[in-house]
Order: sequence, then C-alpha cells, then structure tokens
Amino acid sequence: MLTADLSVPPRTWTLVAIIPWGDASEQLGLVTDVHRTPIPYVPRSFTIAPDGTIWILDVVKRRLAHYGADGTYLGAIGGFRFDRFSPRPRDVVFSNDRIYVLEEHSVTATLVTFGADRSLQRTQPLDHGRPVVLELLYPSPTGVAARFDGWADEVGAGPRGIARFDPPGSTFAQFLPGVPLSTGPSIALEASSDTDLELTFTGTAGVAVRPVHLRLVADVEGRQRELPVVAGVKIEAVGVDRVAIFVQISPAHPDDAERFGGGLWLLEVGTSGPLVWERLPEGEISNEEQARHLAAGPDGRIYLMVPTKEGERIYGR
Amino acid sequence: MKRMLIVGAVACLVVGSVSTVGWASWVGTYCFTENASVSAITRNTARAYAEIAAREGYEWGGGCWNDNARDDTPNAPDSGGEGPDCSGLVFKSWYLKRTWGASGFHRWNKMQNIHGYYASDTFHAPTSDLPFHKLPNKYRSTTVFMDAFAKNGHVGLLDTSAYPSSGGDYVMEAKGDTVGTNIFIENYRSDSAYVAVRREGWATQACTGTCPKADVTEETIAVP
Repeated sequence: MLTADLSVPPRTWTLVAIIPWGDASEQLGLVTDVHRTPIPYVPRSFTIAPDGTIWILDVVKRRLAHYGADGTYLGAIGGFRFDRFSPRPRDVVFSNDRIYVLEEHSVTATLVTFGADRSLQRTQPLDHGRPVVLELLYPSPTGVAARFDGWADEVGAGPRGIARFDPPGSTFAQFLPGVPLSTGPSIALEASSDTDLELTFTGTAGVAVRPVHLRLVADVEGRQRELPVVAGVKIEAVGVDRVAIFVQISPAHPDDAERFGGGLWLLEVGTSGPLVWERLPEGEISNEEQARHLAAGPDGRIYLMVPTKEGERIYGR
Repeated sequence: MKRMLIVGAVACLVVGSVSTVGWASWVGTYCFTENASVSAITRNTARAYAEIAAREGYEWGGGCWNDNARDDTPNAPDSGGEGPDCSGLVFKSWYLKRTWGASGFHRWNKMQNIHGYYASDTFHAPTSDLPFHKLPNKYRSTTVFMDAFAKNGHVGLLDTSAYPSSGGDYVMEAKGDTVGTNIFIENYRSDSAYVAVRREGWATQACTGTCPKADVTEETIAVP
C-alpha cells in the first residue's frame, strides 16, 4: 500500500536548467492565450541523450530543441508540424543511440526517425495492418518499444500492453511482457481499478506480480483523513534496472478535490534497490498537454520537466 | 453559400436566413439558422453529433462547423471562423436549450453559429437549476460515455467508456486553434482541477430483444 499524503510537501530536486519561454531560438515556445487554446501549449516531452544533453519536443516552434546538460542551447531539428491536419509530436526517446519521435493524428501513431542529414523519416507502425494508438515510447534492445493502446481505426478496441516495433514501420506489433530493462528483465504496469495497480516483473527467474494499492490522505484540523481517490499512472522513465512511474492523484469526490486539491507522485521500482515513493514538485502552468514528465539519464539519474512562468524547468535527482 | 429553409412539418422548426455579421467572416458567409426542439436523445446520438466536429476548426465563443474535415479558417482566432470552442461543443452535443436552466432537448444544426449560455466554469460548477450536474465521484464505474470532464477554463466529453491503460480517457473536445476539435487521450480524470459532469434526461437506447437497463449501450467507434 502506498499513501499519498497531501500535507507532505514535494521533495526538493536539483535544478539542472531553466529554459525561458520566448521567440528567440534558444527559448522554448509557449501559448497560453485562451482565445487560441483553453489548455496551454507547452513542450510535450523530453529525453536525455547518452551524452547527457537534453532534447525537448518544442511543439509550438515545430522542432526538437537540443540543450546541453546545463541548459545551454545547442541547436534544433525542425520539420515537424503543429496543426490539426498533420501528425503532431507527442513523445521523444533515445533507443539504441537513435532518436525516435512519436507523432499522433486523430490518435493514430506515426514514428519519426532522422537521417544523417537530420531529415525526418516518417513511418506508420501497424498491427495486423491496422493503425495503432501509442502513448509513450521506451528504449528497447532493438527498434523502439511503446505503450500500445489498441487500434486507432476502432477507438477502444484491440490489444493493450507494451509492444516493440522493429523496424519502426512494422506491420505487426511484437508484444513484450513489459517495458524492457537494459539488464534483460521487464516491468509491466496495469491499473486494475481507480486505485489498484499490478506491477509485473518478468525475468529469467520467472514472473512476479506485485499488487499496489494507492490511498490518499489529507490533514484535517490536525488529524489525518483518508479521501476516496482516483489515480492515473504511467511508466515514463526507464533506467538500467528500474523504472520511474508518474502518478497523478486526485480526490474522487469533487468537494474534496476543491478543498484539498491533488498532486503528482513518483513511484520508482526495480529489480533491485529500494522502492521510492515521493511527491513531485509542480509548476504554475497547467500541463495537461505534457505527455512525458520523467526521463532517465545515462547515469541512471531521473529527470523531471516542469513548466513554470519563468520557463521550462529541468530537475534531476 | 446562402440558404433559405422551407418550414417543415416538425414543430418548432425555426426558419432562418443566413446569419450576418459586420464583416465577411466565414460564419457570416456560410452559417445559417436551423434548430428545433426534439424528444430526448440517446448518448449515442450525442456522440455521433459531436464526432462530426472532429477534425474541424476551433473558434473561441463559437460555433458553427461543416463536415469537410479541414480547417476553413486556420490560425485566425476571434475572426468569426469555423468551429466551436470547448463549451460550445458540449452545449450543442448535449442538445441543450438556449434558455438558461431549461430542461429538454434542442437540436442545433452544426451550421448554426451558437455557443449557448454555458461556459466551462458553468459546467464545472453547475447550480441545481441546470439540466446537468456534477457526479458524486470520478470513478470509472460511475462515468459513462458522453459525460463530461470540466474545469474552470475547459470542458470535454468522454467519448467512450473504454480507455487507454495508463488511467487516461478518450476525450472528444474542442482543444484549440492549432489542434482543433478531435478525440484526444487525456488525464482529466486524475487531475484534481476537473470534475465529472452528467447531462440529465438522456433517452434510453431503443432496441429489440434483450435490452440493456439504461442508456449505456455503447457501440465500438469506427474512426474514419
């Protein structure tokens, strides 16, 4: 059982970089005009390269922006689109020293890789010839893996799980037992209810299932009170032998939500080492458009991207 | 394109001419008035109506949209352009009446430029006199497709009770001038800023043979 305590402040992370918003090339794009969008357009994803540099999916400026480990601007790869008639970027990841970008259009997934001249090469992954819904990308020993959520031509239907596409334009998804770790085992995460999760560890020794129940508590006049809760969970970052899971928690009852609010938590689990459960820092800009919040660095460090008024903050721990 | 409609036999059909504005906006040129009071509709009917708006435009305070799956007024906010905004999409898809708090159902032609009285803030905090209410919780066992998730500033419709595995939902929403109106994967359910809202008075699904109890029969959605 894991308890999210709203009275506990977020853990302090180390600030790695602040990248300001603006029109200059070294700045990131942000749109908050409510006449243009009810939800701010913010960078949707980021990844840490094997060399420790930071790549950010700057959708407003239609590019993949590149920054040094300290936030120094290094350049960008353009050629992306950000309109309602084209696939738009959703996620980015490094897999086998290669950058993959996931695009979506009417929930249909497209994968983008890059030529030696930085030209964009788009392919559409299929499953039994049908377009697919992919949510997030993960590194894989070969090709790229992804969170697979069924067929795009029949929303809500089709298989679910972790699938590998190798090559990216495969016509059949290769389902895996979970998100592959570089050490060989895999970890899968499924929500069996609004508050119950199942973590499945698959390795050479066999399969182990670890149920996790989430609960939410708040301080009410000096006493701890448990609140009915709903949670959204995603494996986001993949380390050597661990994964970092992004957990968004809200009181289920609207009155509780208005009174206490909710929060974001990090759940880190692996084949070795302690379980980590801690509250995440948040920014002032609503981040509904952000698909990925956590990324793993080559040194096993976990990074967090948070949009704030002063800019995009990259934290590490 | 201007149209004149002939009065039909349907009660309360409103005959209209082209709605006009002071400039040659897309709305002013193409939209027209056509609406009628109707009997209660099913959730499936509402979803079919909403999904026509998929891949159409977005206009703050709108709206009016055709069904050509193209942005007829791209990147032109506040210009009388094509498309609904988030609350306008819900107003029309829920077949709400233009009178504040009125119950019953009213069909608005997609080409009639109307937003309705209700903004996202109203959907987020409905008063008891309105034909929609906050659900007691956001559990998956509680919400049904064509319920809405609303916060101060945004509202979207649950497109299907099926859901991606991460705890998100497929939401039909007018999401902005750039990304337009479409079905998107969202995490509004677990976002404390959002509440679940239900329109009142849905009709039950008509069927023959063994019929479900309530209007929650759901068909798989084929995405064109």
